[in-house]
Amino acid sequence: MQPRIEPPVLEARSVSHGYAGGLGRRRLFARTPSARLPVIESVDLCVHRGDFVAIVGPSGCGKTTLIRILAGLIQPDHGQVLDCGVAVTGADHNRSLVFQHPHLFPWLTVEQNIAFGPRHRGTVRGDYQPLVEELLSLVGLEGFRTALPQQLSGGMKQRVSLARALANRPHILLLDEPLGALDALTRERMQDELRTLWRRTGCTVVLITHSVEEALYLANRVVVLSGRPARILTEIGATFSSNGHGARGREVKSSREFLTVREEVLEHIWSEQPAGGSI
Amino acid sequence: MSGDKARYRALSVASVLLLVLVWWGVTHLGLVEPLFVPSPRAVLNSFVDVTVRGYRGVTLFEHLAHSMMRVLTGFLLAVVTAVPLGIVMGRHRVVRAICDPLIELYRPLPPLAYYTLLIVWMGIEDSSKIALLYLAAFPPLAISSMAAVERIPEHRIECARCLGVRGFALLRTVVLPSALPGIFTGLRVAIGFTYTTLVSSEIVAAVNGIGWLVLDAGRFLRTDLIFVGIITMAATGLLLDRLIRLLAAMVVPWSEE
Repeated sequence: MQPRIEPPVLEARSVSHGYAGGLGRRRLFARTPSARLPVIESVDLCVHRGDFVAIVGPSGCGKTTLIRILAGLIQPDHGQVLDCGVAVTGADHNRSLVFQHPHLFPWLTVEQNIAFGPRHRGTVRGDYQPLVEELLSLVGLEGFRTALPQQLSGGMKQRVSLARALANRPHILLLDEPLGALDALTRERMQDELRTLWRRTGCTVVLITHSVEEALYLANRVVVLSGRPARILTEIGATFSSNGHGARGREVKSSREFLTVREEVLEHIWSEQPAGGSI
Repeated sequence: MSGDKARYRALSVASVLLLVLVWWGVTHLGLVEPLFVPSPRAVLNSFVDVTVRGYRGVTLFEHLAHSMMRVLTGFLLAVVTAVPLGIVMGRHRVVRAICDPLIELYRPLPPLAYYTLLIVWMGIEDSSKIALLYLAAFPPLAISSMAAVERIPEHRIECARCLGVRGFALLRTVVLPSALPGIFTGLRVAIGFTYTTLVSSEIVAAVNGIGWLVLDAGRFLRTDLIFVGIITMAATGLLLDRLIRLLAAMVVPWSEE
């Protein structure tokens, strides 16, 4: 490990969060922190430049809440998030969040969707157009630049959504189960594309997923969360991503070591999870 | 698909033609007094007559122009005020809490109920009618715009915020386009209601306009002229609706509504 001088791209310091009183009626004047249902319990996370961190955990454990806090869409009850050393107070283009569903703007073409961020933040067209072109070819949609979202397949839409996030030149790309809504085959393909994307752009990524396999395949660090309230159970420096093992293709998923590590991770989650829980 | 469409279109046309045929047959066979139901020919004749020579010195299109001026002024004034208010009401609960009860209070009233009051305040001329039409168009426009804004998926807004767009730019680039299909549905509802209100207001109190023409013709038992007036109203109402649908197809081609 080399010593790091620059601050981490993204850092969560003992972040805790809860939601207001469970099933009960939301009281107008009585929203004390103690009455809140804890969702996340003192999570510490450090993401360095070029990292691909996958966060796995049982469904409903608060993964999505965690990534929304990292994005700045939610302010945590306790703790704080630092973006390159600066405290996060709201959502902005430095931390681009890609949702499970692409949420493209249906009135804009593929190209306009990708250019949306820089264009409406007042950047000059000449400054962002080359990047938009580059991203169009990166996600293989040059032929669809004038297509409207409704003409695209699910996988294509999600690629546009990725390109739209990258057009902001974010410090970090936050992915909230971006492949969760795709069919199994498209999902496999998109996993490979995400790998290629990461390898080619060298961007920093945090990925939320409930698939241990996906996490091990894509990330160079896998963070395992417990069931609610989410705590970090363990972290695995996975060695199956492209950085560790050159360019091993998807056959790595059926290798013995891959399956062994996968078993270990699942074991961690199961042992924590009360009976009847699900992944 | 297109063959199916053509077949249904042909059926629709046939159904209208059948109605005209029955009308012609009933009058041709003398089954009803011409005073009650004039023949299609008589109606056509008086249409030509009232278009060219006019009724009591004013042609049909001048009457129609008066009516259209009232409708469009009242409607456009309502569009430029009610739609922005509806959008703000959809985004800010405080504004909604303040404005919603006021709109809901007078919305169920038939506009003619407060028309007399408007006449007392503003006279029988155009201003009271424009005010009436404005008030009639306001609630459907404001409520549909508000509902359209509330229907915007929250994730879409969050997406835009994560792309660094906020404040007025967010309103202009995401909220407004997202709400436009719903707003256009509101426009269609509102123009229909406004037009209905116009005609009844002209029948209650006016000195010209298409509604007044029908009222005055009734006084002299000119049923042929009443038919001309009613058919003209139907055609104009249909035209206004079509116009808005055309506009919607041009402005919001991505909408499925």
